[in-house]
Amino acid sequence: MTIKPDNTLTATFQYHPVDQAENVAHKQRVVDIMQQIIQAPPPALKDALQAAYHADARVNVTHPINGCDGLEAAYTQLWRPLRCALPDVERRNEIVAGGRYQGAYWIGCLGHYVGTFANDWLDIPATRGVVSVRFGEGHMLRDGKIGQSYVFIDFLDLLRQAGYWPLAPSLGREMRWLPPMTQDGVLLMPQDNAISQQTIERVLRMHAALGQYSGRPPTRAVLDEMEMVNHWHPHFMWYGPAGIGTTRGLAGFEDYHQIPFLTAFPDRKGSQVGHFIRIGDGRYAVTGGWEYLQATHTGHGFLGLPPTGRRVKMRVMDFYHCDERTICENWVPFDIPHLLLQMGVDLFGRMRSQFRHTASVSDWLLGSKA
Amino acid sequence: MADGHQRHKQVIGKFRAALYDGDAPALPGQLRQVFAPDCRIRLAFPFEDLAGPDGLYEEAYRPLLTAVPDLERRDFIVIAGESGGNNWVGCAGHYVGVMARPFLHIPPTQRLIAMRYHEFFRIADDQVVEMQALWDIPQLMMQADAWPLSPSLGVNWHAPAPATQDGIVTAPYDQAQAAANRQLVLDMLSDMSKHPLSGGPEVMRLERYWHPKFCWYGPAGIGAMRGIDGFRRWHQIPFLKAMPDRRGAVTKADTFFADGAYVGTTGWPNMQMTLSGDGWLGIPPVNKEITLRSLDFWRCENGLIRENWVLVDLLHMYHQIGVDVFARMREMTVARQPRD
Repeated sequence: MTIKPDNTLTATFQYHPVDQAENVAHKQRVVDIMQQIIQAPPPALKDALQAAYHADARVNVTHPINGCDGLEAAYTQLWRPLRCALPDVERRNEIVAGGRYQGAYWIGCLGHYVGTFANDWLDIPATRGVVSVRFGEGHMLRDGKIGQSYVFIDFLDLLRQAGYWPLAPSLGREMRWLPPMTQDGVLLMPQDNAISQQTIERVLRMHAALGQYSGRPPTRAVLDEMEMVNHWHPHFMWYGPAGIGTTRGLAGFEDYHQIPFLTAFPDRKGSQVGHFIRIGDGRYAVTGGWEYLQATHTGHGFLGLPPTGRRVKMRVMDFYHCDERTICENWVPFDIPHLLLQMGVDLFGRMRSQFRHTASVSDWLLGSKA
Repeated sequence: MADGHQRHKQVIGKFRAALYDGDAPALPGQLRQVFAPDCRIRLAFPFEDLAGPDGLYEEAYRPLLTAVPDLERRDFIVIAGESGGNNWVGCAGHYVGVMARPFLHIPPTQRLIAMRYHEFFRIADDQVVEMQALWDIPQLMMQADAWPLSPSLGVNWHAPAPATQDGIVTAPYDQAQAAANRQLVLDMLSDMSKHPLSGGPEVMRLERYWHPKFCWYGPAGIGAMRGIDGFRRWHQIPFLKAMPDRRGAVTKADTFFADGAYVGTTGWPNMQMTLSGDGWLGIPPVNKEITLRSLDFWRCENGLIRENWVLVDLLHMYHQIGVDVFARMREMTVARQPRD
């Protein structure tokens, strides 16, 4: 028997059963923390953050915020601007799942901030109308406070809602991500450890199968070697990030995401660093890597762009929803603006100079940082 | 020579009249009357080099007439002149009609479409011996809601005829006026080429050459814009940011000719550059040497350039950097493509 490559580094994974009362308490704690951050009156926001995070917490956020070290940075770079942009914001959790990964407790949250886009955010012009801002998060909880977070906010999707699309049109459908079809993704009741284990192992078997991709041009026959059909529901929904869009079924996933992606990044592979969450919780699973997935941009087609030959690191999370046999739904927060930046395309620079008429075009294009 | 230019316009007049009527069965014969059998025909990507009048008909006009059966050619510039010992006639205009069937897999709209062309014809012995032509195929894709790449920074316009409505030059050839306007454009390009390698934007002395109200009609994908500020913002700065080492154009002064207020240039290609920076068309810096084909017209007024029609073969540029625009368009419009 031939030894199959382990490009996604799933072979060493071991599921750790969790105490369900503790797991529910952790998830409830994160839900409460986030609710307090979102609801605190602006003068009390700093207090809410102190109650939420350890003093040395590291909060990693998608581009252009990137890393926030400590409470002050999380306040000035993430939470105060968010609250200012959407003063009447509400947080809608659509998935909240928890478990143990590498000796720590991790909670994954997926949902939308809904609110009136009243003030510019990161120079994205306010629409004065309602917007729905996608988030996906992984939080490491220690002693009732967050010690580390990965926060994916789909700023490109917000740009889209603000009426500015800087890229080639997406092949998938740009639409608001749906909550799980069973409406039961916020897991605040005890789950069966056996089912949780089954779910994450099912997902990792799929990851392992993805890892067996040979790097050859992704024709249907080559894609079939990964045997994705064994892992997915025939009508599975794949909720992709802005830039790629949402697809349905294996053919839709292949045509609108997998083929362009593998053509562009045939050597894409997991690395030894950056994987922060792999948990199963009931019928839900969450995985995520912060620059764990790496590749060389050697092929054309992804986002309509030519190959740049550059090495890139990707920030990606996956939220999965399974039934008894297959994966039915997959939500994919993915830092597309950060990936483009590594390829040499500065979406925010382009937006500022070409959409924000107040900004000088030369600030971006001629290199002065004024 | 002056009479020669008038006669050359008459040669192209037969070609223009044939396409104004767009009579498909008659067209091959009409083309053979105008083009030499071994005429060198160079048409925008994906057509490329075609074999004489029959190749031009079979590969280009027949598919176009199939897609747009009521095709009508409308010129708004027709000029003639001599450059580098060659006699050229240059035409700008739109192919107009109802798009009833696909063209190059662009889904039909069943509605009126307009596709701009800039076409240049080299004439010898009253026959066309070379044709260089760009058709603005991306403009047609946009009208079919099928443009699969990043949106234009400028405005997607139906490029208008010259403001003075005198682009179809019929007056006797004015050698002095033509020479002065040709020199104006060459001087403008000469100064323009000094930036960025030999200084900031000021070394281009744009105010010296361009009318304060000038319009710049770029190809679909770049768009139209007005004034130095518009030109700099929506076209030149992104262009030079991405390709600071661009060279060409003015070094081939023998491709420029003028007729009255108008100046035209051929070039296949006429620019060479490395795509090394971010910004142009949203393309990443691929660090690739590319060439551009740009066929342009200028209109001069009292020693200033007041209008500039520019077509660049963007599909050919995308082809060089490895982007298959047609494949992405077909994928994006799959529901409007014929079923296999």
